[in-house]
Amino acid sequence: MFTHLFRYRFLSLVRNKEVTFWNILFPLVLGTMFFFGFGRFVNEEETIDEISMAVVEVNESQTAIFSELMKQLEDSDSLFQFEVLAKENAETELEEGTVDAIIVLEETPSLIIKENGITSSIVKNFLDQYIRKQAMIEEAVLSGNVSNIEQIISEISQSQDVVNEKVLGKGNTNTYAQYFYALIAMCCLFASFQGAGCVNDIQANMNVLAARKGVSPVSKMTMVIPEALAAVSIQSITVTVLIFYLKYVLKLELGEKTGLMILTGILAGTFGISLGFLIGCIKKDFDTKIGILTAVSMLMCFFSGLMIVTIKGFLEQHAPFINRINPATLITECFYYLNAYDDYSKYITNMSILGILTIGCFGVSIMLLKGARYESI
Amino acid sequence: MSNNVVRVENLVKRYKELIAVDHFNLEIKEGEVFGLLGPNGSGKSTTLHCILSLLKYDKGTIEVFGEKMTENSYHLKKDIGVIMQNVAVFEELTVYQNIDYFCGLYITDKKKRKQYVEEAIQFVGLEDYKKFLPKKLSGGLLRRLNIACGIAHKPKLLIFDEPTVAVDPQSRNKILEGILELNRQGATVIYTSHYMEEVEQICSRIAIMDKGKSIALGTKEELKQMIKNSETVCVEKVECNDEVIGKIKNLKYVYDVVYAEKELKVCFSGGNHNVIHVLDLLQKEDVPFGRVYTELPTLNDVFLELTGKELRD
Ligand SMILES: Nc1ncnc2c1ncn2[C@@H]1O[C@H](COP(=O)(O)OP(=O)(O)OP(=O)(O)O)[C@@H](O)[C@H]1O
Ligand SMILES: [Mg+2]
Repeated sequence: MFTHLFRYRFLSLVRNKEVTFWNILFPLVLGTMFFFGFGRFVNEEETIDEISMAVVEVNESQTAIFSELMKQLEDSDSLFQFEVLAKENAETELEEGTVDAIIVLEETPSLIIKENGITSSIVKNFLDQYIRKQAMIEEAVLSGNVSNIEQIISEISQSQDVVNEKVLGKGNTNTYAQYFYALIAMCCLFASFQGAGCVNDIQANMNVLAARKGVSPVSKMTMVIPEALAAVSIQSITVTVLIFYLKYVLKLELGEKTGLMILTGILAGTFGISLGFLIGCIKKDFDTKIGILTAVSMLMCFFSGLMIVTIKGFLEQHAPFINRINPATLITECFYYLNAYDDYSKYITNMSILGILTIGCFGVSIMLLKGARYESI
Repeated sequence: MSNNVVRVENLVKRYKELIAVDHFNLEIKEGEVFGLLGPNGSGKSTTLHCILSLLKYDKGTIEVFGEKMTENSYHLKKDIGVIMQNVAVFEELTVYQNIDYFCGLYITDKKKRKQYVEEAIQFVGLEDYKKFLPKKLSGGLLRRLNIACGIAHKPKLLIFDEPTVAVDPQSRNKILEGILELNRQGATVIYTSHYMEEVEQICSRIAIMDKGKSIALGTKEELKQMIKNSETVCVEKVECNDEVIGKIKNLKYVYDVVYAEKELKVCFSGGNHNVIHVLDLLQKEDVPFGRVYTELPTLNDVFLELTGKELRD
């Protein structure tokens, strides 16, 4: 029975035009479009060897701390070159292009840049780090604990080196790779439509085929498990093809750990299917279910920062638990962690949460499905 | 232990305000071809769905093969074949695969299944279409596929819900003959339709449904005896005056005479030589007339008399 049901579900999914389009072709097409849009940056070999910054000193205590940092960084042959200037001069230099950015050392240091690009994002990143650690530095200054200050400053400058390395081509965590991670995540969430289809096709009040199956001597559970696995298999093949396509056809540098990326994709796809299961159990017509599903996955993607990048950081500050359980965030982060860190602990945490969510969705759906009889067909 | 294959007692099914099935009773014996006849919306499909435990119902008991039928009565469902009113096949699977899929839900033995599927294909005459996808089949062929999917596993009880909608007369006859053949092979059949000719042609017993109620039950002869009319004599192109019509009304067994547009219809409630009596009288009165024919009552007349409306839409 298992192979019988699996085989035919698999066959009808593969032959279903909508499934083939949305689950297989669409991500490939979108990936290709991304590639021609900005994919070339992902592989950009060109490195930036120097970023020159004008420093405008306004606030005294800021100046004191920052000059320490400047010294450290200039010694450690980092990218950054600093030049202390008066505000007007700095602005003319920025205008002429002799400096890439201006740091104004007010009470809260601020940044003036001319245009957005890799350079400015590095500078932004650097200043953000600095501001975040600033409280610690001030504390150390007040308590006169010089060794502490040194340590913090060297932490900033070191992490800066790591970031530089990553952003400038050697590593894989540049902004552009993020788009492709998000693409893979989206592809996995699309699998939810298949999950909803599976569940829909065993609810007799949903369509004639389901009613027809409902009068056969096969229980809903016996029916739904092989069908769900067929959907999982298709999704796994899809995500593997997508990852191979991005890595080996478009030759994007998305990281070395292909095997683990595929594993992540498979788990993510299985989650997508389980989400579809859950929403498929809602007592509404199929179009409504698909509507809800689209809205839910869009919302997840939105909170993961697919549309507005800063949203994730905002949530991290105000409602961090959303980031911990938002599947779209979890999935993109998994890819990011795989390639940004050698340490697997964060990756494993995220994968586990995703796994628990998957089991949860399946579990609740099974409870909802069991023993349902229908008021009307 | 009775030999009732299906027993329905006091079934009530409501859709919100609407009572779709209203205290319905039914007993189907082994080996019967049982007809459920009723106009659109009379509750035929709803009744079948309740029997199959697809639908919740408000009241009543339903037994199949002598056991209470529930959602989880898989051992009972194993012996039932259902042909739904709406075609239920997979768009993505071929004719052969569709039949094999449904057959496989009942028959796990592969060799046996293969044989059964081939037999079902032959039965509905789809040999030349095995590799076709449903969307390439015409409406009638699609109906035949729908039937094949329901009968392939050789069930003991077959339930057909208007299987011949949109099927041309030739294929329809083939299907009806096929159903009788399945019955000869031992299957008990429930057949619903709003075509009285079909039901008359194949069913040994018939229940007539209207507005969720069973309004008459019996063999077609029994049903026809339930009504007053036994024969209607029609005379065309005839010129009658009121006097002649009065005389006709006085003939034995006549209970109604309709004369309109030079056509005379005389309704009898019995008697054996009614035509002769009418013609004798017309000749005696020197009334010229054209074609003469007599009509025996149909199930439509039964329906008309019992409900006051036509069975046909
Ligand atoms: N899902 C539903 N919700 C509400 N009312 C329904 C539903 N299904 C059927 N009905 C109503 O119940 C009544 C019986 O419908 P049913 O389908 O059983 O009739 P039927 O005899 O099979 O008719 P047909 O010959 O058209 O198939 C109809 O009045 C119909 O409008
Ligand atoms: Mg019906």
